[in-house]
Amino acid sequence: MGSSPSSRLDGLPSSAALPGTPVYLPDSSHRRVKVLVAGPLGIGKTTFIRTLSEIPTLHTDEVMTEAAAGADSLDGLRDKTTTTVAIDFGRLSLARTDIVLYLYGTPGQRRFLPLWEDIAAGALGALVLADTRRLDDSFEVMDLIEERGLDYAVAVNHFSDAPVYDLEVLRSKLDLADETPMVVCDARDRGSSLDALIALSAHLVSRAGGTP
Amino acid sequence: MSRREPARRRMVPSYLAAQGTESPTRHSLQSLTALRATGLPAQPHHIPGQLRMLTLLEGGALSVSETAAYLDLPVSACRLLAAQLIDDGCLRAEVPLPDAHPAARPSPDLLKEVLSGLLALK
Repeated sequence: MGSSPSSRLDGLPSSAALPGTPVYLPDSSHRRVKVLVAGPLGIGKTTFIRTLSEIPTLHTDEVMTEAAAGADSLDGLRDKTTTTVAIDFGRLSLARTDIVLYLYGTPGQRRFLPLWEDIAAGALGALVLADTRRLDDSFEVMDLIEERGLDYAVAVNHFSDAPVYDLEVLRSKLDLADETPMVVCDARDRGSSLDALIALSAHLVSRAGGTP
Repeated sequence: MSRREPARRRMVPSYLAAQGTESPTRHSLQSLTALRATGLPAQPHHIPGQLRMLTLLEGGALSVSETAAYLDLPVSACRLLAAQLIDDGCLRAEVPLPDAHPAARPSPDLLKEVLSGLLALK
C-alpha cells in the first residue's frame, strides 16, 4: 500500500512498457470479452500478451491461501501458506466491431487452481502455449482447461534451440483430439501470434455450432 | 466488546479494514466489469484505497482487473472497495456483455464477431 500506481516496475524490462498512465476504456458503448493464454512458467505467455496488447501489459497480484501439505513441503511446516501469483494481462480492440478482447496469462500448475475459478469465469476459450522441449508440462494445463469445460487450441511457441517435430508427431505426443487446432507460433511476432488467436477463434465458432 | 479505537493508527492493510462494508454487490463484479465514476464525491467513511480508486477513475472507465492493477490491489480487495463505492453511488458498474446472461455460454454470433474482428487486424 502507499505506492503510487506507476511504481511497479518489477519483472518488466526497462523499456517504455510501464503501467504509468492509465489507458482508459472507450467512452462509447462496447463489449468486453476475454481469452486465456495458458501454459507452464517460462513458456512465453507474457511475451505473447505483450506482442498483441495495445496497452502496456498489466498484472494483478493474486493472494492465494493454500494448504502446504503436498505442495512444496518444508519440514515441520504444514500450516496454510499464502502465495502471491502475478497474473499478467493485456487488451486489444478488435477491428470493425465494438469488442475489446482481453488476454489473461494463466499459470498452468494445478496448485494455482483457486485462481482459475475467477480467471476462467466468462472466458471465451483458451490458447495453450506449449514448448517442444517439455511437452509434458502442458498436460496439466490442458486438464485444467478441460475440467472447466473451456474449448482450446494449442500454439507451439517456437524457441530456436528447441527440437522441430512434425506436426502430426506433436499432436500424438500431446494426445490432442482430432478437432483441437494446433499451430506453431512465435510469441514475439505479431502476425504469428494473431494467427494463433484466429485459429482459436475459428475453433470456438465451430464448437458453438456456427460456421466460421 | 467495543471496537472503537478512534485515535489509533491503522496497522492493517486498508482493504482488511473494510470490514463491515461487505456488500452483495461485490459478487456481481466480474474481472471485466467496467467501473465508471458518476461524479458523486467521496464520503467521509470512504477509506484511502477508495479515494485512490475514485481519483484513478476520474479520467475514465476501467475494468475491475485494470483498476486492481493500477492501484496495486489484489482483485478481491478491489472488488470489496468498489462494491461499497457502487452502493454509495460514486461508481457505476457496467457489465462486460450488456445483452448476454452472465452465466450463458458465448453466443455463436459473438464468437463470429471476434473472429472477423481478429481477421480484420491482419
